[in-house]
Amino acid sequence: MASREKAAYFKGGILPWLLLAPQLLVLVVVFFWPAGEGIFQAFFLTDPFLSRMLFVGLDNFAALFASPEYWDSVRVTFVFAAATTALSMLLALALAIAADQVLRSSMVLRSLVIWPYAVAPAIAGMLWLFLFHPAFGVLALALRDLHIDWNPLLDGGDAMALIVGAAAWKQVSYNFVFFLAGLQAIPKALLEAAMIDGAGPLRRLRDVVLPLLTPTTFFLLVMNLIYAFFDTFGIVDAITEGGPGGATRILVYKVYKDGFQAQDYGSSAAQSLVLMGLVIALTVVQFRFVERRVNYG
Amino acid sequence: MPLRYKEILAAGVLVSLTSTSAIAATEVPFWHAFSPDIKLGKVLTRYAEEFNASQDDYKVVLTYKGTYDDTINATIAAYRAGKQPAITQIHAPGAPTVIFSDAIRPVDEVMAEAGHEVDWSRFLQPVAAMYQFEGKQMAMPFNTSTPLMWYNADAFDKAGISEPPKTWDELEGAARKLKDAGYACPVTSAWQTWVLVKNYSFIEDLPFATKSNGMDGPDAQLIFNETGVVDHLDRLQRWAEEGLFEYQGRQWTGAHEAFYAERCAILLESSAGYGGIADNADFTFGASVLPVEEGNDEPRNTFIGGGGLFVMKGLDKPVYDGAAAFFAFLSSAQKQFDWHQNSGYVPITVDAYELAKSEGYYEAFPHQELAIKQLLRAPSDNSRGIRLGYLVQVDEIIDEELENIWSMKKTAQEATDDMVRRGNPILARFAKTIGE
Repeated sequence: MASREKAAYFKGGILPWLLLAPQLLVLVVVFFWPAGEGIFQAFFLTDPFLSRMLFVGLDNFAALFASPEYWDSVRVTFVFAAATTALSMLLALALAIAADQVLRSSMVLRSLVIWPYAVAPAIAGMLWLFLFHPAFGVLALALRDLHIDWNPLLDGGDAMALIVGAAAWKQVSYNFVFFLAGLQAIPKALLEAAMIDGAGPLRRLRDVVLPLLTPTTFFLLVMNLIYAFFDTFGIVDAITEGGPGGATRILVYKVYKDGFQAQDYGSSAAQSLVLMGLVIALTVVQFRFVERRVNYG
Repeated sequence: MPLRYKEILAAGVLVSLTSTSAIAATEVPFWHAFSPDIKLGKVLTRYAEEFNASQDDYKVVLTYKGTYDDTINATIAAYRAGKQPAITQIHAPGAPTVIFSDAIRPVDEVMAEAGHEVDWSRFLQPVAAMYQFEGKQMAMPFNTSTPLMWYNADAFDKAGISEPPKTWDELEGAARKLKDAGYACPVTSAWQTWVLVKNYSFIEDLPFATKSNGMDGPDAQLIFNETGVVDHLDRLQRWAEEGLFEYQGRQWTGAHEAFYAERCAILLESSAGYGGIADNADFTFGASVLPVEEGNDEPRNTFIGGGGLFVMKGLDKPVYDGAAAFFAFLSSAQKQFDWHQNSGYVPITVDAYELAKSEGYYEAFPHQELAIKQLLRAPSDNSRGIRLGYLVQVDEIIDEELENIWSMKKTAQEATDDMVRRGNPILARFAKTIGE
């Protein structure tokens, strides 16, 4: 017994660090170093070729907070993230419940549903644009023929609906896979017991299935919000470029635009720090308050 | 023995190194944004091959870096890592960042040091001026276009319009006739900030920003909310409300598609739009110069778009000599005429224009000459160019606020005031960044 315990852990020293070194090196090089540079940049005005760097303290942040358009972007971002997360999770849950009934056996069909997740955001954006652009979108032209007013180029609500649709569509398959796995992990015996007690399908869903799905749901909530906050600039860039009039100018798109198109590194870095702060705060809130209601069985 | 063997080996390596470097041509890396799959990329590849075959000293090595944004970002990253190319293609919005940096060498210096005499006065003035700063030629102009008024000639016939409108008032009359003839969108524009705001200011000789639009220094301020641009946008808003003008998006795709589909009958768009229009329009189309205001007897030159070729600092003299030789090759009248024909861009020199004229090229392609004629008009301080830092952000603001005009959320005055209010702090940040 004693010898087994001895073998189960290292006694410190250099060996564990050596074994960890490759992983740590990768982390430092691809994560901590660039992230550190980003934090550093946020306090400077920088010529992109690095011939001049001017320390400006908190000026980059002050400029953001002084701009009414920036606050508008914050609001737009929350609307976008909430709508995208809600839409993609609800759709995925509905699909998973439906699939759970019929697809139990078909691995092929289940695998096919994951495909949209593999589409790059910019390509997903292009696909949706080809459907819904008022000048050449197949579905937009059909709507026009039906005299339905649809113009995401000028109507902020339409534009928001469009990027939410595209962003949610891309994420539905990811959510679906997790929900389906969660559903299939629910013990049959529990459902049968509920059935014997006289619970109909909706009652079983509400009192058995959904509570047992809460770990999956909570995980997906966190992941989807992070996706909506960070990973959606390609979709916005392809579909609306933040327009009309800033109605879809979400924070991460501005980070991308100012950094990678305008080479305004200082402001872009400051914006990404604010965004990171927001998402960290949001995640903490979720773990502190939402996770309490998660039933890990 | 082993020592001896090593010495021999070392000597052999040394000999082979010096002998290959004696015969190998100096490589001149050239990064660009023209995909080799499209015509522009193919034409560029052909030029590099022709140049490489024409002499033994230099070899231009093309690398396609992706979009314009990808190219400038790759150039910046490479420069910071000390691995910069000799030549890089930078598009107009990125040019100020590069021009005001310490990372490039003025092209006129590079040409002079390599012994190439260049008569810069033979370049189209607004084209060369775009890249001039403090008397130096900071880049070799390359792909250059300027907007024209494209129209559906069949629609003009149907609406009873006998000749293309020359003034904005005539355009309004034509738009009404087109509307009556059943066109839902008589007039549209691609690249609205470029065509409707900047080019309008140039032609009408109105200042877009102080300091000759930033050409004389980066501490410039936007002032177009106090010029005729406001009335112009006010008129366009009225057109939008009446259904005479329809917005089709910030870039070009939507406007082109609506023009192809014969929803829009008049398209204000780059001269470089010719290829797409020629391939996709199932109707007779024509082109004309951009309209001017009634009573403007001396319209100024239009504003260019496209990209220039910059030479990066920190390389060896032979590489610079190679870049200079390639520029001399590229800017010859014959090559520029070839470029003009095959790319749809305007030639950068008057000599190439005259060659094209003498060859009768414009009899078959009259629209190609319109762009040059617009650029040959006498420039003023308001139309030499625009050089404003973080221009991408300023353009984004103008785009957003123009959308607020088209959607009737703001009046032209409110929107232009907001453009200036939001844009000026950005210009000030840039000026501070580069230490002015």
